[in-house]
Amino acid sequence: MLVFRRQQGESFLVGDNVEVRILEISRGQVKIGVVAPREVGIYRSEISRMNRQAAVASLEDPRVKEGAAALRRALDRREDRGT
Amino acid sequence: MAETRLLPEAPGVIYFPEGVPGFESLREFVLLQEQDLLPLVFLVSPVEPRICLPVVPIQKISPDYDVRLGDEDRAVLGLAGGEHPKILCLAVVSLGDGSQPATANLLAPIVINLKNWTARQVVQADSSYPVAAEV
Repeated sequence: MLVFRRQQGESFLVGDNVEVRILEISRGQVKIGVVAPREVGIYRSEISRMNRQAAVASLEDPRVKEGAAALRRALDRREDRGT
Repeated sequence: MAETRLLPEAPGVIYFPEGVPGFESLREFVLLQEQDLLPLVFLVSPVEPRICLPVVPIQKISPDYDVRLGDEDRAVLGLAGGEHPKILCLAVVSLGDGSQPATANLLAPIVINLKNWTARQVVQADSSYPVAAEV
């Protein structure tokens, strides 16, 4: 892993056409801007991780039937509360 | 109330121009609806059928959900500005197991333009929607 420091307002390049700008640093959070061609997907890593975690290999996976049933029960409970 | 079909039937594939995060190489998915699994439906990759993403129409989980589309989202989806979009909004569901409850990703719904069946997972950047809402 390459590690280096940047200050607010500075940027760096990934390859020839992806620029990452450090827009703002405050209270433990960094606001980042990315300039990249449209075909380059930019995702928060948690979105990718959640998708990989959510994917099942087959609809026959026992979690699927159980999950569908649990979801129906949860939604029914909500509808009951709502009326 | 017996629902046979929860969602409109997709004519062939749903196209993700950027792929799906986590599965960037997969750009095409089909929407699989099986009656005994509703309201869960599945985005399945025709080239990689072992990738089945459980999703649920987001309104089912969060009736007041208000998806915000930025300019770039609209551009990827092929939605003209100002046009009231005909879209479908799906939340990716992580199925629980005995010890963990199922969660839905409300932070980044999958939005499908029903006119051209083009889709993008759209991060609601400035919202407080959670990435793993218990359902």
